[in-house]
Amino acid sequence: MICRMRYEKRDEVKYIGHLDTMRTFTRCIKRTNLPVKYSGGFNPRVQLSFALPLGVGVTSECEYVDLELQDDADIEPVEIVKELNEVLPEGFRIVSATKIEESKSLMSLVKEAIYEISILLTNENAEEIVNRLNTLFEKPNLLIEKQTKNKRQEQVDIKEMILNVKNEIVNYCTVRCTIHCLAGSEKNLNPNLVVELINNELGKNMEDFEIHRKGLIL
Amino acid sequence: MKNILKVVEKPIRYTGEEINMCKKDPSKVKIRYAFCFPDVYEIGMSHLGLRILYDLYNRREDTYCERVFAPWVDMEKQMREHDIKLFALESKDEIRNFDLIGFTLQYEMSYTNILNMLDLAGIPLLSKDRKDGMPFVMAGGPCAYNPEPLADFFDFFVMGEGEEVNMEINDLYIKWKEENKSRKEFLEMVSELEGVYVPSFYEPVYQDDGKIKEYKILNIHAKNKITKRIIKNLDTLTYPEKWLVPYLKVVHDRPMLEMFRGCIRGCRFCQAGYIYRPVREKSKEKLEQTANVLIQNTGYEEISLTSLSTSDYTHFHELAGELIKTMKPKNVNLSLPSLRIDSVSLKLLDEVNQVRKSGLTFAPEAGTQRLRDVINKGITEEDILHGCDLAFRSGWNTIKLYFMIGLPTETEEDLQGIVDLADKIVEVYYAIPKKERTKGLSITVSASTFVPKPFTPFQWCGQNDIETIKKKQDYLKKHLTNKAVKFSWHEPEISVIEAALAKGDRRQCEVLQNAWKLGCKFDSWGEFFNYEKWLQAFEKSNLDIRYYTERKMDLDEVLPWSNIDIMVSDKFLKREYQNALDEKVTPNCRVKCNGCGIQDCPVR
Ligand code: SF4
Repeated sequence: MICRMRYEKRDEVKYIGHLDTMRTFTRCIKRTNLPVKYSGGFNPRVQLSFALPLGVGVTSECEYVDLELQDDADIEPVEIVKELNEVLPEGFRIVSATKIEESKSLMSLVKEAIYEISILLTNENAEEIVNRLNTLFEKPNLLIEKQTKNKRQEQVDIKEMILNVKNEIVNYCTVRCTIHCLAGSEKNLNPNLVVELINNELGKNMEDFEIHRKGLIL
Repeated sequence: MKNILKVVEKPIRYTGEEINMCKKDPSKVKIRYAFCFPDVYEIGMSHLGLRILYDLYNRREDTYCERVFAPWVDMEKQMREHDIKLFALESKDEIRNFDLIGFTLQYEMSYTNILNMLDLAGIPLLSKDRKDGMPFVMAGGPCAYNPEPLADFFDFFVMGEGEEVNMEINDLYIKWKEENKSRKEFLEMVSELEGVYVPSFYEPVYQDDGKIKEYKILNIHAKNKITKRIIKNLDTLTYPEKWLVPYLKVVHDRPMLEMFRGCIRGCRFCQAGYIYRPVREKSKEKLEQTANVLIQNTGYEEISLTSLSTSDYTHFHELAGELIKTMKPKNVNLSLPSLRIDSVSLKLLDEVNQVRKSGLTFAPEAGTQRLRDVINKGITEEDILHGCDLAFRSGWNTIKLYFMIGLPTETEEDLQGIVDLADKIVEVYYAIPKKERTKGLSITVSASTFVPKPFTPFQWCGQNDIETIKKKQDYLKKHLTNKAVKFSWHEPEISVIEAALAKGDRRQCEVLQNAWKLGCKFDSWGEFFNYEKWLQAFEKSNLDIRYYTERKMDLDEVLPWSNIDIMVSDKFLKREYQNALDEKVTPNCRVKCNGCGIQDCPVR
């Protein structure tokens, strides 16, 4: 049996990278008495599968993880949530869980994602910024330099990966750009590229941006 | 602060919040204690002493102990640019407002980081410049046994095991604060505690030839000799059961189970073998119990047995066997470092290692039996060859050999001995029928540079000069020609500075400051170590570095560390020095007590 859980990764733990997050979950599960299933072999491991990795420094309210339980496990998802939340460090919280039958890997199910990019303003006019962003995203091409795997620079057009954009004023010193985009193993938009795009346009500092994953669509 | 984390490498070095981190309301405690480790997070978090004291302090309701590590260079740059003072991991509060700041001194090459951290904290570097309302800065750990090169920077040092004395210091601190006394009065109070050294109460007087004539005692509260502290019965101690689990992969990423303190062996170059005497073991039952709690509290997939020479634990095989049995159903591995390789331990390694036959390590330290007798390394060529034979037959193919070059009395013959030993191991391998060994033999010969250390029988010895060490390395490079044998060595310059600081006196405080001002930090990191700057630092203070490193000290000379008593007698160290020169071995403490001077020794 597989238990699919949705969890949040908040501010306190946002700098924990993907591998470290995986390790943290494994260890926390080992601290509970949950009837989890171990892999075979000489180094049996807790069977966890995560959805799309979250970048370092990004918070999220919509992360998914599948945990495999022993076949005869007689436990309700709510109990799993309760037990896990007791041992997870502050900043991680399981919000919901459901039992599912055999499934393809979570990663392969990811289709789209929604990110909120908060832009901290120093002395710019919020309304003007929103207008500039609107114009920016209306361009037919959104070109950005990207480093390829073999360390070369390459120009990519991220326009085709963006499904929807909304720019709005949050308060007088924050503007929020919500991006609905393609995600997953096929085509994936790294939100950092969007930040870079916006930064190129507005000429701010990378420190003035916060990224939050609002949703992940399976 | 929030923003600078976005631009530094590995921000989780600075964010804390790990599993089992201690959280307290700072306004509800009487003492805020900053435990400082003068290196990066990943190294500091691998240190058992930090775990023990963190736990012990925080078990006290009146104290909140928090951790501080050396910010990596990128973080330091950001902190300086944004005027962010050094803060503690737990609360993120600036440590300059804390009550006590304690540094652990694990290796000499971390000393410049201490100055840098004090500076980043906004605390005056020199003890004499600290005023009322500022924290007291203290230090402990193995390097504290020669506190002199750091004497000007610390208000006091703690000698030996800290579990009891640090608690006594806290009690005194609370009393002192309630009584509204002066800074000096607090130092007088702590200097009456056994094991506490207040350097400002002692003044070295030098002879014309530069040697120390004597230490003048400047305060009536100061003792003549400061005797180290030890815990008699380790089973009475609590253990850090709420073991912190770092998010980041740290150097030793597993809970450690300390089996005993001290070492029965008495290798003559090894400081740990003397300063941690006598051997005291924890009971097997207690260890098993602790192991289970540690795993339950952390969820780690591995636990390691630690101590100086693990297989010397009296019931080692029973303990290891028992642990393997209880850990297996929990899918937890047992890690067994520093084992002596013989048939029993190989069987054990077989059990814990399953398929992964990673490298086996031998530390003969010297190439010939003669030199091994000089250093009292009780391992023979036969032991090694036999061990390798067994290992090869049970599937290992990777051997690491650790040697030291520049040892007292070393000649070319001893270097050739290293080469011969490596060649013999290759022969042992090929003498085994092909079917019975794993292919791909790989032998690594690693040669470090000998550093004479205080409180060892070699404390009076000088170190080889750099040219000699380089020649010796070249000899090995030239003669270790077998293609299965790899040679690994380090540039000797770091070892030279290490020796200078290890054997340094109070005049080196200025050198350290010079070095730090010239930009030295993270000196144990090859990429930052800068020998030229260190030489400049010595020159600036008109001190000859060779006086500290290469000079053979007189046996009756006043040593810089002569205010300290490690319970092992000076007479014994001298006798051992003579035995070394006579190439006479001294049996280990379990075979025979050699009368090292320890009172009420439990081994005897
Ligand atoms: S007193 Fe004897 S047995 Fe005890 S540590 Fe010293 S030499 Fe070893």
